[in-house]
Amino acid sequence: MKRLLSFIAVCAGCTSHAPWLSLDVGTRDIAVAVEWKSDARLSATVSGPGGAITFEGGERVYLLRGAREIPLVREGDAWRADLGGEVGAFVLAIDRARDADARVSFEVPAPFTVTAPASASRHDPLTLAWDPSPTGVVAISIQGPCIAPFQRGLATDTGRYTINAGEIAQASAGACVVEVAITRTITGGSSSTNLQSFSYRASREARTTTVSLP
Amino acid sequence: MRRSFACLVFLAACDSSAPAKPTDTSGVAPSSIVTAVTVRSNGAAILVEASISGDAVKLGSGDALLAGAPDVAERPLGEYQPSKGAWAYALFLPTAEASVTLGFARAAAAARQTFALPEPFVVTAPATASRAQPLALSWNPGKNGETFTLEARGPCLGGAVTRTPDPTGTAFELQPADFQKYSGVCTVEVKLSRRRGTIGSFAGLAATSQVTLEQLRTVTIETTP
Repeated sequence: MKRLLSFIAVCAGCTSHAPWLSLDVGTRDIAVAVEWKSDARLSATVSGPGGAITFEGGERVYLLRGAREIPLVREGDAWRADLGGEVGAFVLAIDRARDADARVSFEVPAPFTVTAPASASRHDPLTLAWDPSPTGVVAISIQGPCIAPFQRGLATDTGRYTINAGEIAQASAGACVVEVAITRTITGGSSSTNLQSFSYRASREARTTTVSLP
Repeated sequence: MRRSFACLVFLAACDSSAPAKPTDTSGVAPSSIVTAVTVRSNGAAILVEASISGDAVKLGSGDALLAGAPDVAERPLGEYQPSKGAWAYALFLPTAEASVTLGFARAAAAARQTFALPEPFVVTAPATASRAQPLALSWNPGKNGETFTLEARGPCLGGAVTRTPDPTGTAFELQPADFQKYSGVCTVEVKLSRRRGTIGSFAGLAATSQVTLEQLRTVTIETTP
């Protein structure tokens, strides 16, 4: 009876374990997702069949900016790095001991500014201008206590947008200061890497204020 | 006893699975007939569409929904089935008038109410325009309490672009940033709708009946890069 119970216990332990130690995970089974937002550190998840991967045996994950390494620090299930204001092209690198290395590229959008008039009546057009870019998708957000929140995604980035009269709905009578935010987001990924999957999302925000008048 | 009980259970199951006959308005008080009517004008003709809900889903043989205009004699709306088990009613009025009279008739009696449509409008738009410049549209103004909607469609817009300009305004510009990167000529169709709705009894019908009144205009613009 004791031998039978021991046998069952051993078998139960053998059947259900999904690998999470890097030496047990093939490069083809690794999924990488990278996210970066303005005023925040870069966050990357590196996962295998058993969840977040713990690197061992000389295997590691880090960032490259050209030939310069930027270390990634493990925090919980994510890897994080402070890019120190650097923008442009980066590479997330995974060095393997027993399988092929992986290298995936992503881009962090450059800072930009947005301008708006000092004030504008809600019954007049409101023109916003910012530094355009050929990459990324732009969205406009305007919020304030006297208006209904206004959100709009743009099809192309021309560096300029005029919100027509009456499109910003009034929430209360009178004037108020409203926050204008332009967000530029670059997303991407690739199914042609030697990883299971790779995706990234990098968002940069520019803000200004204007006075919304009745 | 067991046989009787089993028989009762079987019969009860049979009754609940029998298909229900559609309920019509015969014998239903007009104040209990819930009607939803849409009156839509394009400036040259009016389309009246209606449906019935609540205790009845179709008109009884002695009942009729009526519609007319100042220059078009009143007629009953025609009945059709848009799908199985559903009934709808429609009538086309060849009139440019901006008011319509809706009514409900049962036997020899009829009750009517006249509704004013939203202010008619004419849209001014270019026949051709460059997508690199704001695309300007203009029209005569409406009134507060109306909803004004602009919907633009075209392959260079990636689907529909819907906007809600000021209902009392007179102009709108589609922005270059509203257009996707697109080479060549792109036909853009813009539908503009000025709409007002009422909820309440009309022609003696239920207090939860609805009438939606709409002026609808469509313009087409050939756009270039």
